[in-house]
Amino acid sequence: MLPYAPKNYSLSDAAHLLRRAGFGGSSQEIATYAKLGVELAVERLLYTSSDDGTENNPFDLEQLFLERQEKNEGIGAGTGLYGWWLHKLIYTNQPLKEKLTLFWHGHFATELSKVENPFAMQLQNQTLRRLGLGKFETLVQAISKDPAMLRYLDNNRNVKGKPNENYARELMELFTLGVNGGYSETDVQESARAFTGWTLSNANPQNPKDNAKYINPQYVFNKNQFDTGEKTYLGQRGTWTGEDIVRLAVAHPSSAKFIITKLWNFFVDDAISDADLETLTQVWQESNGEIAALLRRILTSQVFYSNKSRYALVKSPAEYVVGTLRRLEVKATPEQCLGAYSAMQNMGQRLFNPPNVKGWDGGTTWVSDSSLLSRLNFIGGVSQYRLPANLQKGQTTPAIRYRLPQGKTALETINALGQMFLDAPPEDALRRSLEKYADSKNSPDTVKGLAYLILGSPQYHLS
Amino acid sequence: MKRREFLANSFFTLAAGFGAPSFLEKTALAADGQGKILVVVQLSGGNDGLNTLVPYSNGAYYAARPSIAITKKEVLALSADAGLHPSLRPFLKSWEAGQLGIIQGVGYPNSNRSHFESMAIWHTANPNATQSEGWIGRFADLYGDPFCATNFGSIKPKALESNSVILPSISSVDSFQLKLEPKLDAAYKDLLSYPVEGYSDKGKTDLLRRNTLSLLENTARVQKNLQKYKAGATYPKSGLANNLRDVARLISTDLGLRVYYVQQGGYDTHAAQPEDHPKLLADLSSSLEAFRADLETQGRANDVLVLGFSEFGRRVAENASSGTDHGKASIMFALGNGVLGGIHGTAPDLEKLDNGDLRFSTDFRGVYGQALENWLGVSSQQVLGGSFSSDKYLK
Repeated sequence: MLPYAPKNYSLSDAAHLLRRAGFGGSSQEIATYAKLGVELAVERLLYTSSDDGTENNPFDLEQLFLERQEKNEGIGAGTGLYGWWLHKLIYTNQPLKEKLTLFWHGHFATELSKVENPFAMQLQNQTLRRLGLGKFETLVQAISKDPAMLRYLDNNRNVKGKPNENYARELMELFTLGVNGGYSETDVQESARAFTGWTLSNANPQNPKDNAKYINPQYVFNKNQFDTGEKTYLGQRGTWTGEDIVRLAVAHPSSAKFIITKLWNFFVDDAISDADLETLTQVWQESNGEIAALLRRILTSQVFYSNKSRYALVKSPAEYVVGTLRRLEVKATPEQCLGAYSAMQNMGQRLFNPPNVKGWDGGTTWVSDSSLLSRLNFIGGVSQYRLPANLQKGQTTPAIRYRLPQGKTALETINALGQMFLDAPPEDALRRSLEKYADSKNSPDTVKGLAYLILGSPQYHLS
Repeated sequence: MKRREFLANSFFTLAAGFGAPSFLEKTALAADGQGKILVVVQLSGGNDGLNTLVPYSNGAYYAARPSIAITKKEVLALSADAGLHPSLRPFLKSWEAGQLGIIQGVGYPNSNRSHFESMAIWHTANPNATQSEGWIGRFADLYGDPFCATNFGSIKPKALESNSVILPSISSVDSFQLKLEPKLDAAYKDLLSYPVEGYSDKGKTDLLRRNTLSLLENTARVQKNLQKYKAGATYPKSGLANNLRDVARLISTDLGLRVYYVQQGGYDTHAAQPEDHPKLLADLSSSLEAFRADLETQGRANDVLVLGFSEFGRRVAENASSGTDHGKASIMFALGNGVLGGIHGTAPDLEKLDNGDLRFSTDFRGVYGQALENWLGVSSQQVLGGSFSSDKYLK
């Protein structure tokens, strides 16, 4: 895997990096990253701190929960949680951190509809964000004890005698080794025994006395329900605990391969070569499974910047919607953050509610009549200065807070729109169709029409 | 719309040229099952067959499930040995009319306990599933019409992946429309008529371009032909019911769709099964009975076969969380005027288990095969790549 060493790290290179390691950049961001050069640009993306530019997040889950409890309106689970993450996605100054959180959310997929506790879901999301760049084992250990995950895969109800296999199976099939990673049904059953006694604090959301417990759900180990016997797991015999199982699963050679391939498919393209897999497996071993080390190597490699990898991925609804808002530098109101959430949901990606424990299959499965139609409805609104917004009764539509670029002539407008959304002036057939439509006119309506055509082009779905 | 008219209008099949055989070559194939419609209901998560069709006279059943078994008193007896879960009471109407068939012991060799592997096997109708095409997709290849089968929902299951056409997927009929002002509409179609240049992944740019074009065609087709529809039954409030109402609406409009695909999720009952499973079954049976009543009102009840399946059944013995883990063989059900009512196949032996699971006695491809051959009127051999048998469940 050769490092990428261009004479000049171009705007187009930086734009590619920001599409993949973020949600696409505004022209200013692209210029900033291009000036840094390949290594520093990647370092800047890998640098994270708690100061991500979203301190003024208007969604306060606790406040919403307490208000609703007082009025006896139920948990009101989603709204605050959805808006909270969307606000972060739209406003963060650390886009890779959010992109990776999205990756891990799809990997350790957990559904609010079953967990029924928005605080647990928020806690999980924060864990993914906090540990996402670190050592893979640390992340899996934390997720295994994560209250939302314990509840989601029933590991909170796993007691000795007749263990519950749900978590034990998915830990190997989906989280570490992968489905053909070389484990057996016996490994599922044996490891389920090692997770017995794992549970979490119980709290009734209807009972104000339980509020502190409900808002801060905790992992609990119930020693009396733990099966202390010997277990044979992945060929090794011992009185394994759940922590041992996680350690052994992560250490299995299939896990490095599975996670590297999945990262590659998310950040680079559909197929990793044997040689690249080998190189990255070495990075995994040297770094003890550190995700930042893998991403550093990937994002500074020649293959990442090759023509074959550019525009080779279908944008997920999150990339499509959040990317559009970020490119336009929209100052989204809380109602628009929630509107963006709903738009993504219509396109087939309902954050905090993946279709099942496998998460979203992604790639070309994002493409269907219904999802494309939802994409066209969204960009139809964007090009007409109508952003989706979830308005409460009596609320008025928020004022327009973005501008479509308009040049002095139709040709300049076409270039500016292409630059904004496709990171390049439109070429070839696309350009001819746009020029034909504009017919040398440059009126506000023409600009809107051109924006629709560019946003609706097959190109705009690709990252 | 008549098929000939569709052929003339279809810039999609004509212009795109995937090498799919034309309709004319295919009409003979389709002639048998003309007008017959298949509605596939996918129960996602692994439906517990034993608590759906309950072997209520079997001591081994009660021994394996001390806390989640359906008691003799609760069960809706269909025979001396088997009865329905009480939440399936709405199905009794179809049962009594001889229009509900339940096929027991359905599965496939070397059953896979992974949701996703097993679902892919059911979707592709291939236990070594590696191909990308689904069984409905292959039906569409053979049938040659890009609008012969549709999914309901935002993500299209693998069952509807085809090598020759892009099958539609509809979230809701009312919102299945796209209105652009005429000049922009023309410009957009112009833009989409040219292959994308300068992007490396031609497979993806082509898919996006072609699917957008077929979307424009499909929405126009649905909205242009949509006739006045008044639901002929009261549907419950659920996602499944909403989809089935839309299916009834499209059937009453007669757009030439031969297969509809709907899904109901939530069957992965590892814990608290006595709380969750009844709700799912109640939604399933009440939604489908409303659908059947609606079709009766629309005068199309004779033309529709409903076929239900899940990716696997569940472990015979319950776990300690009042739930069941992933298992193997399960049941399928068929609903409709063309169905041979009754319990078909062989009841699984609860004492001769396969690693704690039920053994299958009917290959699901045999059940698919009958629907393809005797209902849709296509060669099941060609769709399934082999001959599979199952007890007769169609009249």
